[in-house]
Amino acid sequence: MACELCEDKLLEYLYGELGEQDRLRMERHLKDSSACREVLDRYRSVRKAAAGMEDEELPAGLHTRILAHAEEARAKKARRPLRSWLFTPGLATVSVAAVAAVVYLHTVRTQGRLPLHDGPPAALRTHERAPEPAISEFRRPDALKELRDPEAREELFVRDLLPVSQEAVPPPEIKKAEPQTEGVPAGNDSRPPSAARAGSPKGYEAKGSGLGNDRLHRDGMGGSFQPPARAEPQPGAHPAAPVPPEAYGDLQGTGSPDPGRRTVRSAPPAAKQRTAAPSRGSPAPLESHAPDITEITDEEARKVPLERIGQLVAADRCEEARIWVYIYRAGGPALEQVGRAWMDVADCFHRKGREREAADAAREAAEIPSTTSEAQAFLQSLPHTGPPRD
Amino acid sequence: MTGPNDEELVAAYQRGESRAFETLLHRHERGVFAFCLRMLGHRMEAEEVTQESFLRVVRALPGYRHGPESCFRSYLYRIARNQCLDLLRKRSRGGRETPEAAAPEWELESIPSGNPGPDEQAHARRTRQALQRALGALPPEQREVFLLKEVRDMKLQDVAAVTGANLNTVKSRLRYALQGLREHLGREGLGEEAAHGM
Repeated sequence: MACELCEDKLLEYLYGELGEQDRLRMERHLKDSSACREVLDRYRSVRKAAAGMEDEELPAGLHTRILAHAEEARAKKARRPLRSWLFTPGLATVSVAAVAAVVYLHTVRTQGRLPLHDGPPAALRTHERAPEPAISEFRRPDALKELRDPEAREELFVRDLLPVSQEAVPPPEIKKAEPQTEGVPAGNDSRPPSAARAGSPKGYEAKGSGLGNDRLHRDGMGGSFQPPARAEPQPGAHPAAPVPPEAYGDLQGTGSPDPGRRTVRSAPPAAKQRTAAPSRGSPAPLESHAPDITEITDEEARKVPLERIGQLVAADRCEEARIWVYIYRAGGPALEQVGRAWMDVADCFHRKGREREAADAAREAAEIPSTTSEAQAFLQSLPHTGPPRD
Repeated sequence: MTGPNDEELVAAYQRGESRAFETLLHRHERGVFAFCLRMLGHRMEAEEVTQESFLRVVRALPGYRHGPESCFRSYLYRIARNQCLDLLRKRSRGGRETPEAAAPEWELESIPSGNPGPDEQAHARRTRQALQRALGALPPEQREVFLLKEVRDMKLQDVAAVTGANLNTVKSRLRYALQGLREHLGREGLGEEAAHGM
């Protein structure tokens, strides 16, 4: 460029974008500067050549196509349902954040701590209305210490419930029960629905472990009873009658349990694969030991708790049963079984008149499709329990 | 320009007057298509880019807000320009020939202005073809600036808004574009002639 002025202003002058004063100044400069005039002339020659560049004819049909597509896009947008904009990325993010905040606040309110794992709620909280016998043992530091060792932990699990022998048997294999057994057709059950639900048709069945509930009886928790008839649960019903502990007797898998067969399961392999087992909501005394519980292995979580839940429910040990539902759930069983377990825990609390806890458990069950309707019916039948327990 | 300006038409469309978009389309479609055609040197691609640009505009119009330093026209050309550059980038990545290597397809489609005689028409066509070849040889960032300024008659500030470059960069690119075109025309024996014809 010839000079600083032209470097800065010549293009504006060429295209008529200078103000009046600048334009006059530029014209005076161009009269004196042949070099700048030469540059300007070269630019003008290009402009003259470009003057012949006219707009092109539009391709046939382009205008119509654009209009048609535009109208289609407009109509589609007008038809866009509420749901779709609710889930636009921005709004979805806000929604998720809001839900997370509510869950967090609820958890903090109810459990006093941030849920780091998907574990039991405040099952053993100090403000429980009715401390249950086994809780004190479960809270014992030495019991927790034992839990760190798979064998000791396994023994503790069983010791708490079962008579003991040293006969090792394979760990229980849990399988989903058939919907009806022993010739009792579905829907013909005249028992209270809770008892029906407590039976294996609800989805619990384990075999091979030899685990029984004799200890419950021997310890005065179960008394003497006959194996219950098994029947289909009646959705929506939830009795106040206790679940007979023997309703879980068949969890041992082969029909009626053998009272003389007392076993301790061989300790599960010390597989150290951690599960997402519960730490959330561990009771205050356990909070500092929460990692102990989370160290329950997948295999333990898969194989142990289901029958334990049934037995605990049968023994009205609702708090422990609730913990074990969380542990059991961490083992990744079929959701249907988890839902059934939650409903049993709900029944358990309901029988004890602890409606809030019952409602909490039922809400968990309501999250699982297979038990949603039953849980909702249960919740509706409860007296007003207010918001989730805090 | 008679009737409502672009911004008024946009506002009308946002109020639900769908005919407003048709007016906007009618007002700008030829210019956008010509710009795309000269940027890309390929008629079919220019047609697709033009269509896609207007569709993007119609989808974005409900949320469009007229900024203090931008207008609908700049907005429309920015969309078209971005799509042209995307296509050119894809083309270069795919090893396809560049516009300068290809024979530009718009040569025979241009509409002569006025009612020139046969000699003048022949000369105009020769000049136009030379200029189109010269344009194809320019880097895209210079080509777009020249087209927006010279052919679309945008103010330098609007060119800056369309290209996202600052004003000095736009002016620099435009200077290079004019120099490059002048040299190209000179090599074809047209530059001096055009200059002398002033």
